[in-house]
Amino acid sequence: MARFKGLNYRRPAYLLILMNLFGFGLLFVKNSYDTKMLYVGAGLLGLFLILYTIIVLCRMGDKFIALMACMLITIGVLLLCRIDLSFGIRQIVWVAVGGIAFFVAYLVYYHIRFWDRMWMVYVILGTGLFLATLIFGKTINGARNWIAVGNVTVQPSELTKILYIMFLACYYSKAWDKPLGRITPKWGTLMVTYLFIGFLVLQRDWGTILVLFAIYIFMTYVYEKNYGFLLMNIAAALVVAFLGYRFLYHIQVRVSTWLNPWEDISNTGYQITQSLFAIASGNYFGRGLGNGSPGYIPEVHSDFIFAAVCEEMGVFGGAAIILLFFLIAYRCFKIAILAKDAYDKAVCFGLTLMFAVQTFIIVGGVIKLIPLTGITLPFVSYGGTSIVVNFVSLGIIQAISAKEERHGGEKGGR
Amino acid sequence: MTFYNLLSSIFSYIFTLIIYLFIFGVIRLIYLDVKKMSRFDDERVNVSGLETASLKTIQSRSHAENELKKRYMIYGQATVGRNKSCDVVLREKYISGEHIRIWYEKGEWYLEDLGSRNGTYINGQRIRNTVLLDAQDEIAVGELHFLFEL
Repeated sequence: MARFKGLNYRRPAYLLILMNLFGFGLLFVKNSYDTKMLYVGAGLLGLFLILYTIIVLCRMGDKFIALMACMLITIGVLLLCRIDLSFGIRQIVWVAVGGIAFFVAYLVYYHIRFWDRMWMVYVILGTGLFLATLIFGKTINGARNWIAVGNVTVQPSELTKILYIMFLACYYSKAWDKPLGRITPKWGTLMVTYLFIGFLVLQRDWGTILVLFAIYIFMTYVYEKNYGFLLMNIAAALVVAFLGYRFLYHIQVRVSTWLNPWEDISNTGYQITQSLFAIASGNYFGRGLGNGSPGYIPEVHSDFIFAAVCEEMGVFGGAAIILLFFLIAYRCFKIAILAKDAYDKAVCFGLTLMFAVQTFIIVGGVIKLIPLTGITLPFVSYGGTSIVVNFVSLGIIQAISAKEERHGGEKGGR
Repeated sequence: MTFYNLLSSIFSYIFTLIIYLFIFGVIRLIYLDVKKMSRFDDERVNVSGLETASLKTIQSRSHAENELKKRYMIYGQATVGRNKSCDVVLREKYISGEHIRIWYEKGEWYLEDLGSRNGTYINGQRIRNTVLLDAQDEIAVGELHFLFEL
């Protein structure tokens, strides 16, 4: 009986292994039996096994979130290796770094208890990162949000998202209730939000603005009893959006390509139309890994990876990715609901919102549901900082769930 | 290359199957998890319509402590012991497979020892027969102490 039970929860893990074996085996055949592909696959599989084994053996709370994230990474890396092997290899290096970051974040968050008293630290760190980006930043693809450190370029705004969520959680968990001078915490959070958004406007990083503001709005909606404040914020956002649309050429282009990309198909509408062609040619089950032509879509390895997934794994593959994100969000919301500590609750909720909003924005943008803003699809897209930061947030969520499992009502892990 | 194209399109079905089996497996496990939790942890909602009481865990130096819940609910009747078939499962070495039974009858709560090896103590006294329980009685089984609360 006990043995059967043990087998039960490992079954999705077996499927994950199978997916890796088949996927990399197929790519091995495709790249004319290049053994490098096998090393890549073995490396990735090894990383997953180490990660999952440590989570299960050390009873680090929820087992499913990391497993689902591993599945998403598998799909992402398969596609990246297929598009360009060097992307895949670099992505795996980042996954390894992310795995280490995951455990570091888990341990640090689990053992330090004074996170809720450091709101000032978060604001200062966030502002510092923004200033550093403005001074030392590099402009890539129109957004000045990269810093080159030695050989690698990092995107500090990704890290700011976590800092911002931890800052918001300080206020919403009522840990920060003393006014600073004449500024009450409520208006303080509002001011910091607009300060961060202002910095992001200077960097022209529209995607992150949208994510931060959506997190703020949803947190306010959940925690604030006074709906007038919420409506005021939404109204302010609408005014700002309208002004942006009127005066910024960049945003006008985004909106017009969203409304009618066919008008200027060879220029501004090129990316989105290619993405739509790719999704359409994928049909239900996809054309098969390696049979499609994702190379026609610009930026297919980062922002538009979802279109490539739809082309090569079909609409069902794309729907599976969305389903996996749904399940991750469901699990994380559940952890947030069960968490005893108010600060943990707020942080977990905010991080979940980050995943959910980011997925919605980029998937919606790629399938032309909403205007496109460049942002990475968590765990799937190519992007070092994005992978590491997502792993860090996963580690924090894991720590919260482990706290709940060990000190909360229910019995310890099975 | 045509061989590869054929292989790849066959594999696209296999991949879809694997991914959906994976999702199904995760959903099933989450569902099982939710069911397991709601059976034991739902303290506020009493859907059974039965009389309820609870055993509140008193802090003790037992090793099993971190496995214990703060409070065990009893709906109408409950057996307490180490077996999985018991309503309240306590994994502690001095507790018998089926240790005690607590039940409600005509306005009163009763407790009986089901022939345990190490006995049951109520307010420090070892019990021999069926006893009537009062609120705030301290029940000691094995090395664990509970407060009986209505």
